[in-house]
Amino acid sequence: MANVIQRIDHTTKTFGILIAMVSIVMLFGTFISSFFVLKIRLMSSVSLPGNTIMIGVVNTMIIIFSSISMMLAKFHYKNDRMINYEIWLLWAIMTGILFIGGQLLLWSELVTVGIPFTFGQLSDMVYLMSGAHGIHVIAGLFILYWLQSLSNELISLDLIKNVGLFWHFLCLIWVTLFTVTLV
Amino acid sequence: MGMDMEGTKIMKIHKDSFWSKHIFSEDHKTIGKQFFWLGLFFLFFGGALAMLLRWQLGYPEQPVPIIGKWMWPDDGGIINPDIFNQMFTMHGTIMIFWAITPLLIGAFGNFLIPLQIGAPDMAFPKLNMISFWTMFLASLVLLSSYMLPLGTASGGWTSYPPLSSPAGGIPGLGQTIWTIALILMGAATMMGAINYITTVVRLRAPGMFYFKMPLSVWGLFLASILNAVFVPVIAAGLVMLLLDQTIGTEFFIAGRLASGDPGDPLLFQHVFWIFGHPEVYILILPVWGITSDLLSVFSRKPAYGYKVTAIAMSTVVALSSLVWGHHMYTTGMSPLLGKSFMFLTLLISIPSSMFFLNWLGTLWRGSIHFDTPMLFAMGVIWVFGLGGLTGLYNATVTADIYLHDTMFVVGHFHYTLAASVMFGSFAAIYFWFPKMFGRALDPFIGKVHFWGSFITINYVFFNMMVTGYAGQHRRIYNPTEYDFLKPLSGLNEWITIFAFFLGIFQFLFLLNILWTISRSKLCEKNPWKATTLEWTVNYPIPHGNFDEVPIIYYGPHEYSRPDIKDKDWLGQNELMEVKKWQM
Repeated sequence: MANVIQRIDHTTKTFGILIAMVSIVMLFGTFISSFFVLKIRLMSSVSLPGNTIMIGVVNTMIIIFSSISMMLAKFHYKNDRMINYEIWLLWAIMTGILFIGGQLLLWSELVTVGIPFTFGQLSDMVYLMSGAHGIHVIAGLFILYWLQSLSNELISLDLIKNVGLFWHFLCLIWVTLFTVTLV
Repeated sequence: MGMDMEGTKIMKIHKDSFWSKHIFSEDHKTIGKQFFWLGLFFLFFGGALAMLLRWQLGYPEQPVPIIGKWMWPDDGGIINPDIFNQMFTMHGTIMIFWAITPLLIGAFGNFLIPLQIGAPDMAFPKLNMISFWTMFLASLVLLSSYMLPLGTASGGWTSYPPLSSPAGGIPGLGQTIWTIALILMGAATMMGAINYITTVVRLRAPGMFYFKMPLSVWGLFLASILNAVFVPVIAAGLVMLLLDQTIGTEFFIAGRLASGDPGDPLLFQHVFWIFGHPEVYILILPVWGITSDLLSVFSRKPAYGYKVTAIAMSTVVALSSLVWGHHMYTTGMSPLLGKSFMFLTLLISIPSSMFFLNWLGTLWRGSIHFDTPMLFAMGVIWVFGLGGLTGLYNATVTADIYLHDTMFVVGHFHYTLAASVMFGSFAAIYFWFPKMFGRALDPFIGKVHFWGSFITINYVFFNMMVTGYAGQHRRIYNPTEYDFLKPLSGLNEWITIFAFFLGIFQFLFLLNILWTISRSKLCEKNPWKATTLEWTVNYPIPHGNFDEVPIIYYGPHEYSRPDIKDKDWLGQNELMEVKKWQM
């Protein structure tokens, strides 16, 4: 039997991504709220050693750079400079991978300074929040890799905008989580 | 303004293989049917557990007839306390997440939304397919816990820590498997919600403005918004619980049970109910919408106060996110906070009363046709009325302190969640069966199913409230062990007898479905003379639904218009011949 399928425009896809982002905000919002509830209950805060904070700061800068790279990739694509587009997209992917590596380094540093997983509620929340975020970043990296592997005919500005939207969103989530951890 | 189908273009013709057509189909109608069968299976599974629970409460520690000795030979066919705990846990979990959710939101959400708004499919068909198979995987994970040596989860469908935590909680892996299954189920639900919301917002046919959508779509749309917002909340809580259960964190482990700083079990209750109360509305909103539409169809009258009903339902959605604390009055909550939650909860009765009165307004002086879907829709009015009214007692702090965790609460939420939602589902199944399977369910068996269910369900749940008011606690294994509950033995027995009859009538329904699908002839395209778009397409509906994009001129309830010739209804996309003076 002959069947008809539909193709959805990018605005509709953007809308779907926005709804997914609302769900992700609620997920991390619950983690953050739980962090504060436990913090108030325990009447203490996470005392991260200076070097772990430093790693966190560097990681934050890396993911911000990755987000900016994605923005520049879009800018170059818009102006029809495909080589530059590909370079900046590659930068976004590489810095994304670097961020994941940096987060693993942060975790290993936490273990080294005597704050392993299951050490206490608040530090566990730091592991949980950064781990949940890391999983989302890995998913985002797969999407970036997929975008990078597409042939030129299949790429469009709208597609890059949608992928970029999610990538910037993940950057924003990390900045929020890191700030919360330091409060 | 509507979006006028700007989000979609019909692109190409292709052929489906058996696998892509029936198993990994991206067609919303096939996925809807997959959810339908999944939900139906679990409805009977969860229902069977309910029968066994009732047996134990009606005839405590007596061997279960026929199947008892086969199922529990070591206990002489008696349900032991551990099994009893597992049963009520799985009954609640299955009925809420694996029966009602797939049936109403999975099956009818998928089947109806694109058809009723004039879209060719869901916005993201692949995601839709993944959603079903994630749900299927979640089902397998949940059922796999029956094979564990210590059995399934047994901490109740709420699974509060410490019961669900490893420290002082229920032994075995059942709780862990339960948590994993629920996380998977939540992921499937979120995928569905993203799809439903996007489809409604972006893929409505030209002229299908929000206030021209059928109220069924309104209900499903609003339920999806709640799903998208609140399922992630419980997902976060469940991930934390899973880490407590597996890795050794202590987020919810309190006092001396914790090896270090104590966690906070009440935090889980907050997270659970921030999701859990909206979940109640997630389940009932589609029923409100379906009931509103069906009352109009079978009264041959426009739905009274259509816009008010839509706005009232939306108001309930907003308020539902602010009332979770009424589940926690007895947790030592500050009286001021308790009063605030009480006030907000009672406030919900205002919009609820508005659409409830609108239902009565639709019936008023209507030309009522007592077909099976109408009987069930009218049944919803009765059972939801009782469920809603008894909710007021639970919402009031002073009454709830006494009623909390009694069978009164069980009776109340079964009136709203079991009776109302199931009657709404049955109404939907009887009504849309001709469109889903091309055949109409037998009306005589349908009516016997309705009256049998209506009488027995009221007896069961009303008297549960009576036993609760008399002090019978929920989830107790043997009520006769308490002297003050001994006088309730007779009533408990009768509730059990009526519950069994309720179960028997559901088998009649199942037989009706199987007989109709295998034996019955194809019925006409629009047997109910309804106005909405799904009735304009022939069975089997092809992938893509409509030959051409429908254009909408009228609302969903154009019945008995004096200016229509020859018939008493007008399709939403039907240009009518109007009298000259109206031009």
